Amino acid sequence: MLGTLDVRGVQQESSDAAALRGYLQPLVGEPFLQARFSYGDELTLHFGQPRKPQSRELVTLEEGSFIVAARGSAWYFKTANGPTIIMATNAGRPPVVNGFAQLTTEVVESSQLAQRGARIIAADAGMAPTGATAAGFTCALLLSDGSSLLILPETESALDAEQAALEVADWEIFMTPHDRYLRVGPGPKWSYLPSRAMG
Amino acid sequence: MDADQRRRFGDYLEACKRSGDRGTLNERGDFTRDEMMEKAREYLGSV
Repeated sequence: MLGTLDVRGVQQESSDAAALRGYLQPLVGEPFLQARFSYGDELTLHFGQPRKPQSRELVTLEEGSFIVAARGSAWYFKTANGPTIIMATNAGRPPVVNGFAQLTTEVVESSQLAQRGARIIAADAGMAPTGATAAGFTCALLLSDGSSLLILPETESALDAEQAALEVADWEIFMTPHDRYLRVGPGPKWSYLPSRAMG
Repeated sequence: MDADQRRRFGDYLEACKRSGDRGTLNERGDFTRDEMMEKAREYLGSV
């Protein structure tokens, strides 16, 4: 198979891992700007060109032209400075005696997860490994400063339509230059959709 | 709300909490459903 993906197009629900991997590739080369937690302790990583939201309530918050949102998934971030892994899961404290220290979101935001300007050099998606908490797609990013991010789904998809309408994605990537966002999960499915209402 | 607005609404709620405008759902200052609806009206009025 040989072909192109149109990043200005729309892709409704799919389970194809190869195409999902393709839609991640616009991230490659984009510089890291900042990490920020949104409501519900959701990690968001901002990349690309910095800009200010149009909302007057949020005008002081810089955001990137590419935003990776971990939603309700587990994530692991290997920092650029020092042998530190920052992790977040819905499970409790891991049963390890040494080497684990609990953090607040403020501490993580004020630490340098990655060097500002470090570029994404690889972006990949794949099926969560057997034995993972939930079925679905993982997201992996590698940055030029040696830091990396792994997102692992933790939510099973709903069985009935009413619940499915309220589902939160496993992870999302907003790609402002194309007015699109990648919505992945829950479960082994994803969509590439308009991020802004037209009109 | 479209997806961009929904994402920024999450930032807005977090900014409210950090500025002291906290909800009553729990000790963390999260918002109840009614408080969330009020916040949504505030937010949409500012966009």
